[in-house]
Amino acid sequence: MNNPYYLGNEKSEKFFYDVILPELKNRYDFSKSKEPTANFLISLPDIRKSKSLRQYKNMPIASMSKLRMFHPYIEDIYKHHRQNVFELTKADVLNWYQLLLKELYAAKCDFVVDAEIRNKEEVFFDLQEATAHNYKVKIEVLLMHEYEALLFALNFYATIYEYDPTKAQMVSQDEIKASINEILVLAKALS
Amino acid sequence: MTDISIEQESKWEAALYALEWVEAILIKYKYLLIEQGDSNEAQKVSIYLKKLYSLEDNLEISDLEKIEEVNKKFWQLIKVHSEDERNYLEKCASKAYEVFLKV
Repeated sequence: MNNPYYLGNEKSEKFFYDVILPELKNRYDFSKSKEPTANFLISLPDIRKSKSLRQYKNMPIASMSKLRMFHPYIEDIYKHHRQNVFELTKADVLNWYQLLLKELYAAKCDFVVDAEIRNKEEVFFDLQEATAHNYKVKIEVLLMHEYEALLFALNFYATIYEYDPTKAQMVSQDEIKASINEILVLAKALS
Repeated sequence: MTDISIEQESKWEAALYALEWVEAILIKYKYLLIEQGDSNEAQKVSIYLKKLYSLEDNLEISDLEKIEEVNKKFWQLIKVHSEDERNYLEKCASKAYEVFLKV
C-alpha cells in the first residue's frame, strides 16, 4: 500500500531523538537500576491496563499505542483513514518502539512493556531480548472473562464515540474470543 | 465486577486516553516551538505539560465529575491538521490550556 504518511527511516529516527525520547526522559525515570527489570503486561486487544500500570509509577513504558499518538500526522490519519490507522503508522511506530527499547537497555533502567497477546510473536521476541540483555523479567497476564472484556471494549468505545464518531471502532467478539484462547494457552505455558 | 464498575472503569480509561492525546499534541507543539527558536513559549508549554502529567497520574477512577469533564471536552480539541502545522498545534494547545487547567 502506498503510504504518504510514512516518515522514512531518517526522518523517523530524527523525530524519535528530537521529540519523543527527550519528552519521555522528562516524564519518566531512566536512571540505572540495581537489578534491571522488564515488566511485561500482557492483555487482550483494546483492553487498556491503566490500573495495572499505576503500580509502576515513573517507570518508562514501551507501548506501541502510546508511541502512535506521537505520530506527526496521526489526527489526519484518523480523520481520513480510520480503518488503516495501524497500517499507516506501523513502520514509524515499530521503528520508535525498537529505538526506545535500545535506549532502555542502554540505560539499564527498569521499564514496563505494554504488550498485546495478538502480537504474540513480538512479545516472545521482546521476552528473549530482555533476557539476552541480562534483564530480570516479570510477566503479568491480565485475564478477563469474555463477557467483561466485550463489555469493557464496548463501553470504552461508546465513551469515545459519544464525543467523536471518527474515532469509533469496535473489537469484534471473534477477536476477543481468539485473544482469550491465546492468553489461556500462554498462561498455561507460563504456569 | 459489576456492569457499573466496568462502565466507570472504561470511562476512566477513555479520560486517560484523552489526556495522553492532548499531551502528545502539546509535545509536538513544544518541539516545533523549539525548532523555531521560540524558547519562551516552549517553556510555557513544558509547564502545562507537567500539570497535565500530574492530572493524568492523579486522576482516580472514583473521580466521576473530573472524568466526565475530561471526556466531554477532549474531543472538541482534535480536528484535522490544517496546512499550517504551527497554527493547528497552537490552536489545539491554547484550547488544551483553557480546558484542562480548569479540570
